[in-house]
Amino acid sequence: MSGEKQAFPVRDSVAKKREFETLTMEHLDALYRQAYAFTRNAARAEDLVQDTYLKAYRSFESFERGTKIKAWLFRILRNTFISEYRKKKREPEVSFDEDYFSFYGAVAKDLQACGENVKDAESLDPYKLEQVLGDEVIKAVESLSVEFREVIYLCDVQELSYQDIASIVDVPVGTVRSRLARARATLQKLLFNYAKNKGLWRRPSALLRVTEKVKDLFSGPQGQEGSWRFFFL
Amino acid sequence: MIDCQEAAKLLHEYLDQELDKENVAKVEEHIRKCENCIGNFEFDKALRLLLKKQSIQQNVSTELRERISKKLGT
Repeated sequence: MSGEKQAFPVRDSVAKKREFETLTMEHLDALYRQAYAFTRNAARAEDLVQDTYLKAYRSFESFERGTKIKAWLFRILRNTFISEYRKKKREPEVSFDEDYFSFYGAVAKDLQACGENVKDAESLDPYKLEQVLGDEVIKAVESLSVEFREVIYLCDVQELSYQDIASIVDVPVGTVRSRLARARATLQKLLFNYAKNKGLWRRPSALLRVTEKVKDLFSGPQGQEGSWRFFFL
Repeated sequence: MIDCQEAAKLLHEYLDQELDKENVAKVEEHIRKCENCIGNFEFDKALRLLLKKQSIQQNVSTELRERISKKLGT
């Protein structure tokens, strides 16, 4: 695959490659996860990552040393996805209503309407949440539109600041904020529907029986007096 | 003191650690006192941790790492 005219002596491109790898290879896994957020397919994610690295290497001269290389790589990843992969497939938009409600808030209202008011305060351990929701969380995230998936991954998985996300996605910080809020509201709504369809929460009488059982299930510190948790089986 | 609607709107930014001190105090004050919102807070927190936990299980194959290294500079 050579045949490219080499303006520099071989020694220089070896040095370039070494410098590039030193700076970029540590971000390989993070880039892969973000690529997966886009493609939702392991093989295509790997291809996307590979293309990203090649593009990044080709434009390495344009990278300002001392700035955040991870953000630079993420931008290239994103642009590569948009130009190469997005063309091939229309992403379905998930509809949602602007009526901002929370999963918990909506369920709480319904429970209270049924006359239930469970007073128990246990911490909701993510591992317990996983037992209950299992794969549904990842599935729900994967069913979101790509714009929503992208920002949720950048924020919750990559743990980037709104500012960094804004620079990667190339929108103002305010847009990042509102997009994240909408993405999360949509996600909560999906999980709420899942729970509802499975009949996991809407069982007032069962809930009373379950209260005692759940005290054992959920470990964690006692909450404050008068506060209550929603939990479901 | 802020109400539940306001707290719900600020909650995500609070969990993202993107709120200014003044609003952090408002959110924390509300969560301390509000029966409804504390559950919301716990659920959102657990959900994020779960997503992170499930995602970091994804890593590239070693094969890809080598393949990329080979392709660079060819």
